[in-house]
Amino acid sequence: MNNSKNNLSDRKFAGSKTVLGEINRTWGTQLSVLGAILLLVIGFSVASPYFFTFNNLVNVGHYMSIMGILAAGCTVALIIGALDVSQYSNLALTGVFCILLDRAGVSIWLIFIFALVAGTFLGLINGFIVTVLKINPIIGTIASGMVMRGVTYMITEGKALSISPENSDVYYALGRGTFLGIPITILIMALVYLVIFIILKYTAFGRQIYAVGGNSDASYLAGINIKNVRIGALMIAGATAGIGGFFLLAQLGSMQPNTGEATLLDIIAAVLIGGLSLSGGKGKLTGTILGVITLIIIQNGMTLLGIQSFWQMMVRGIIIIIAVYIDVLRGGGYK
Amino acid sequence: MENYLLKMENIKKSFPGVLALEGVSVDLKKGEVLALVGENGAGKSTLMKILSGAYQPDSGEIFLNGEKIDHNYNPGKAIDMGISSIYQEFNNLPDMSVAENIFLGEIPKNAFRFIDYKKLYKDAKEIMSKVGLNCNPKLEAVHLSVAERQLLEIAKAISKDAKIIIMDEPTAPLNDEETETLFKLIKKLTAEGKSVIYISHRIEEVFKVSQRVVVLRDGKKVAVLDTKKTDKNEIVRLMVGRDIKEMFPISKTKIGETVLEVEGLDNEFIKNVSFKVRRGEILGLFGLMGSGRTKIAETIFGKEKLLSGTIKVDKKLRKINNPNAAIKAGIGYLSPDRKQDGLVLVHTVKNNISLASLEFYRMFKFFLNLKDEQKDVNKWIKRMNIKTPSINSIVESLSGGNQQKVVVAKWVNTNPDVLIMNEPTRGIDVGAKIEVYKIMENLCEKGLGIVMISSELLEIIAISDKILTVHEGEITNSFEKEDFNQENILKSALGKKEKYEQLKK
Repeated sequence: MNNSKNNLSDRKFAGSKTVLGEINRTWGTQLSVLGAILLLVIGFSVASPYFFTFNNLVNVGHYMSIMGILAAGCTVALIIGALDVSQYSNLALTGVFCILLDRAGVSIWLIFIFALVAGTFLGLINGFIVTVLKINPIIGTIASGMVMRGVTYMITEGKALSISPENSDVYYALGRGTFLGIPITILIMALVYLVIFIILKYTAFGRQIYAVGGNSDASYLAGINIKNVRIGALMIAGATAGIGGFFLLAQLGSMQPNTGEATLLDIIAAVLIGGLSLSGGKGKLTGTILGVITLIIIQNGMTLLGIQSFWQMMVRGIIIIIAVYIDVLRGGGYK
Repeated sequence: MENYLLKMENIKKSFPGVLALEGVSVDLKKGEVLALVGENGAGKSTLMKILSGAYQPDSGEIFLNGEKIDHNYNPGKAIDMGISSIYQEFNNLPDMSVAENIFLGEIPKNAFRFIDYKKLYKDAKEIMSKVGLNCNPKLEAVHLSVAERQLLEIAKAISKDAKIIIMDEPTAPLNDEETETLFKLIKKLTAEGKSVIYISHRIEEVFKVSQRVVVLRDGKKVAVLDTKKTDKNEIVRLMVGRDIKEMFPISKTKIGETVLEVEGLDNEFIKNVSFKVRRGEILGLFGLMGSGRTKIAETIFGKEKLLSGTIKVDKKLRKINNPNAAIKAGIGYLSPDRKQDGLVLVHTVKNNISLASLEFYRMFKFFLNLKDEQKDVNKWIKRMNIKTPSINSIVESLSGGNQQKVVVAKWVNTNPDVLIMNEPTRGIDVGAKIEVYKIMENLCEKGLGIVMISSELLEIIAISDKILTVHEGEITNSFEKEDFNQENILKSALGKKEKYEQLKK
């Protein structure tokens, strides 16, 4: 009898047992994105002699760092199943406030801390909208983003604001400087990824973020305060927007009130390419950074090849559809 | 061959981790009531969902009137061919009128293609009188009683000129009288030449309505019986596949002190619920669907708000207003649907087992002690014989029985004094069931008190030391082991409660 029982369980057992299957399940997306990146790099290097040059790579690095920082926060929000589309509005608003503080004579370090706090606070507001008011995250963050954008336009009266000229060198040194040939902003981005990686992998909070995203009902019954976890995740998304705002300001020395309006969906495309699911519960930071690199390379390559910006916009749209379709194929589709 | 209206041949279907049907063949005659019985997870619903077009079989063929049904078969086509299903959960639209519900999708239209309301209500009235639904066809479905909604479902089926009506547990929400009405209706329908496939847990009903019985077990057809030539014992034995003693290998453990005591629990769903559970005891809560048995558990566990009443764990009064407080008080709750709220399916075995006990692994406030976590997880995998390639395998890829053991491990890992297990063996195969019972026995030996909720009467009688019946949120009766009797327990669950008052004294 004992025997037949074991047979029964074995027969019904269907897990991926092979090492290869395990690698495919864990790293499949990352490997395929990595492959795509290699192909793109080779292709653009052949097509444009300027592509694989030190100057261009530093340039790409600067541009990528800001998007990468925001994408890391977006990843955390998406893991709990809350798409945050207000990040760029948060970035613009925080950036504009930083300029006002700079003009009031506040030191750059205090302004950095302010950006971090302000971004996090705006994330807290998103958390309130999503958990207390129970508004669907996409709708809630579109709306909160509109409010933030409106405030930004109001403060700037629709014009670009610049930091005071005597401080611009300090900001440029941070925003455009390099350390051992690596852009400082890329190092900052790496630091952001490291911190979020540790949170996700080694803390109880990180584990709860995955759990709430994977199944909020089960998480609630397991005694997890799902509201706090959701708020926390959106605060991280806001914090990265604040950090991104500060360093974008450092790169440009000024801030347009419409910053990021056109590139809103790029981050989402990047994280979806990297293997996150719109339905939450899954995803790795390595995937996100690879997704960001892919998107940036495509944009940079197209620019170098002299492709018109209208065409580029179309291509970006198509990439987003492809990225989301990949999510559908993984089972996260709209039903 | 022409004798048969419907023939399903060698139907196979598998889901990730489970082989649901292993080549099942069923046939149905015109004007016949065919009963389909089997335990939870035997494959009844899957088979019927294939027949109604909701699932595609992996292989196998379906013949209707001797004609083969082609491959892109779907629910719409099934209805067109005259196959209608009435599910346990009703599919009617609560905010639309009864008439609109009946003719949904084929509402009568006038010459201008607008809705012909006059004809709609007239036709509806006609069909309603056929099934015995006596109300205004303009009434919104939300106002109907449960039994009336059941009749509405049947009216829908008839309006579509169904030749085959699949009824999945149609009597679950009905009382005795309503059940009788339904049986009369079934007789009338079959007299008109319609065929019925009748799924039920209640073996007695099978004898009342059916001509033949198909018994399924673990995705296989084990017997087709002539209802007149069989008896209840034979059917139960075929369903379970072994003797009762083998099936429920629970030996008596020593019963100790009271570990959980609830008194006068009251809220929106339950009324004045009081009971005690002692260490080493399995207390069975039996009631029908919607009786409030789950609400009682959810109230004790802090998922539903408690308006009045007290909960004592180990003689200490505990204020429980959310699951977290319940876990801290030493209560665990295994929910009835592991996919819905028991497991994070896309996560690993390890993360699921430690989900409710993350607090134990905190170090430096924020960080997790991954080593300790892994040690505990490995311990449970070994003790509970959870079959998984590694602790990092995704839970979704395990079989139902192993998934269930993961949920049990999750709760045991919180180190509870009381474990409330709601349908602990739902949808798992017989071998796994026995293992779950053994785990329960083990927990009792360790001094836990267990509250078990189950809709399988057979199981609850075999496993429990004491049974309470629940009806409309109240405890209607209490049975000690020596008084266990199927008929009486079922009756009490249907709402006869006079005896309880006496027993309470």
